[in-house]
Amino acid sequence: MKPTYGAVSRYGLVAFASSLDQIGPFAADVHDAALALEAIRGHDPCDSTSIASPLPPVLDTLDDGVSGLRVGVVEELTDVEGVQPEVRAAVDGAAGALEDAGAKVERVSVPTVVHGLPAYYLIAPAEASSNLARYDGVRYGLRVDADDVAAMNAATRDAGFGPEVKRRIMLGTYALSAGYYDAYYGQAQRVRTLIIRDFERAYERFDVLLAPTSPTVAFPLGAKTADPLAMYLSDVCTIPTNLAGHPAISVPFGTGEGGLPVGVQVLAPALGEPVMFRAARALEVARR
Amino acid sequence: MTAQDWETVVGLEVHVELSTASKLFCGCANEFGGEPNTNVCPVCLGLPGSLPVLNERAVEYALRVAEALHLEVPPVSVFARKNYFYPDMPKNYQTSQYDMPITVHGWLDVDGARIGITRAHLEEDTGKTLHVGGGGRIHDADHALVDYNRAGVPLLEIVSEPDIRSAEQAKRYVEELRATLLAIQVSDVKMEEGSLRIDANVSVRPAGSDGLGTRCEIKNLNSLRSLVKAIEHEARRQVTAIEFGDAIVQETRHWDEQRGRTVAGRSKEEAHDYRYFPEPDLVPVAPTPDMREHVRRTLPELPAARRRRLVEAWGIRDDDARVLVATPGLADYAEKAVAALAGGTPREVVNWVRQEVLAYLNETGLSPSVLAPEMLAELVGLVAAGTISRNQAKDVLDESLREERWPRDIVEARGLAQVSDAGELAAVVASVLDEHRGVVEEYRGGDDKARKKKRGFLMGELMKRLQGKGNPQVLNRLLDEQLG
Repeated sequence: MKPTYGAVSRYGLVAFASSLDQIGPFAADVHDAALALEAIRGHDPCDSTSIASPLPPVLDTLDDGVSGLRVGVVEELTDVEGVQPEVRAAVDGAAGALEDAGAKVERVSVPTVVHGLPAYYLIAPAEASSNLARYDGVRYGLRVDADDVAAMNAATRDAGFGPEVKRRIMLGTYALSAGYYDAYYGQAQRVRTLIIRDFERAYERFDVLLAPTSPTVAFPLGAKTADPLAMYLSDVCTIPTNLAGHPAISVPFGTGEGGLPVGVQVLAPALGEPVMFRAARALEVARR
Repeated sequence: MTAQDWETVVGLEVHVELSTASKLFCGCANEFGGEPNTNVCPVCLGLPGSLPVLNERAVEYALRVAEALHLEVPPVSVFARKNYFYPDMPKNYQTSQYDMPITVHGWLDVDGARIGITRAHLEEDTGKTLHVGGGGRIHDADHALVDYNRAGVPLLEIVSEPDIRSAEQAKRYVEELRATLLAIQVSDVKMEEGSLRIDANVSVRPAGSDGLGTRCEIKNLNSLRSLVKAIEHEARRQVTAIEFGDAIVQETRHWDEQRGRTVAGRSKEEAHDYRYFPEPDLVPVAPTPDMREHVRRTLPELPAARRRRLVEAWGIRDDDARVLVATPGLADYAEKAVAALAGGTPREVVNWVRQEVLAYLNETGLSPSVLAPEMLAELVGLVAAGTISRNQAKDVLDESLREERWPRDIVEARGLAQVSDAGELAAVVASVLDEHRGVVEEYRGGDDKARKKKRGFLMGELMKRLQGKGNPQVLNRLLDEQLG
């Protein structure tokens, strides 16, 4: 699960994209995830983006059920081309399970989420290009010697970073360049604001949202490394809520082709972890 | 065209190290010097996983500067990352401010001219690189050592409008700015320690025209002397180039102190695209009304006002007041001495301060705050009472400053006290005149020249008798009376 941005301190976390980075637990079940979250979250004066106000308890209400809960299934992430039928079936199954448990489920449109992926792949590499600049061979870590300091920096970074990291550094550096900032990084930030507004509008009518975690059934390890764009596309469903800084939790809900697992995710507004965990718990119970 | 037909236009970027107790984004002490790389922590070393936390005191200092320089404080300001690779910058980006600085649009009056200030923004300082070998020349060095003690020290960059019209005015602007920053206690403004560093943007234009010529930026001027010489040289260079029909290229130049000229930077290496973007590890800064009110309430008297007050209250010259206020702690010292006066005038205090005291401070490098102003007040009183002459007082003050002794004690120990008692001296005068009746006769009968000579002889005899302690003014009066 991914907590609300600022719920868990980032101090000590090696930074990738600072405005998106947020620590969350992987756990064997929903209860363990809730336990871990309550243990690791809380205000940290060493992280300026850490939330100062007390965070709502999660464990106390974990088994309160979903009776009367308003659940919206995000159309733009579910009912579109590119989402495998097995995945859509899993989301529909999850929606049905929540309805059976007393929730009111409807389809909801969150139009700007479709712009999440391009916005993310400008913002995240831009921040990463800056965050990764410190790995230059001067103070610590790998150093590949060369004639002067600029050559040493280049040789060290060339040897130390893998192809995907280099790709993102170049993408991010380009997005921040003079003359391109407004068209890329600036535009991506504006899209981010629109996505946040769209989610806020949806949360006026719904307590939580439901969507696939990924558009496809899990693929074998290493299957898409040769095709970065296909890899990026598999993030399409988790990125919008990530850009908004809202919490989300992915729960396994059945299997697809070859017995590989399919996940559905429950999304909630900022600090909406208690109700999000209740819905996730209900899905877990329904699967048993 | 001749050189008089050109006008120099200057804008200055002044980088001021703020004298907060700790660095801008971590708890390390904000100190000058120290063993290299001992005053560092994971944050100012930019170690992976570390995060900055803004020092609120630095914000308060910036607000003080805003008050003193009539700057506006927008409701919100934002830190930004300035990205470029340099080994003395631990993260390879500098956390600075870009399009939303903490203060904008102010001014500073310099000798009646109003110099606009575009903005003043907060940023972190970098470490220092020491090039080793190659006789100190960067390009010939064998290797470089980096000291990160300075990394993360809070800087305020104060950017002026291109309102300055000469090298001399640029110097005066910096002097006034330094005095102001000193008065409001935000920096020690020591140029020799790098607490205040200047970049100068220089251009020239035909006198009387409104447009701006192409400017060159002269980097890192670290003394007022270099500032003046660099601007003068750069303006001459530009005029010469234009008169020869060459275009001025906008570029960064460096002041070469040895050769006394500016030299072009290596433009390719210095053509940075800083790729600014808002610092995601910090939240926007929104100074509260309470904070601003506190700053307004506690802002000390500014130099211009203090100079006016001292000139009016003490009857001293503008120039005296300028020296007192511009030297850290000197005006405080003088004011305390004046407050302790039991005899003599503030003007006499100021004369001693400007001459002997300032010479002593320059010689020893001490701050006026370690001196006892009451001792100076006592000395002025001793001179005013005629106990010692001004000449004797010089020696006494010198010993008083060096040995931290009270002037009265020194006068007693040395047996310096003048005899000023007219009755006592009249007897001595009568006795000497009696002994030298011949001389007295010659005096009375002689012309002006002879009289002067004889009188000098008699004064000498008197001093001999009095072992030099007779008050000369009283003795002269007595001689007038008794010689007729």
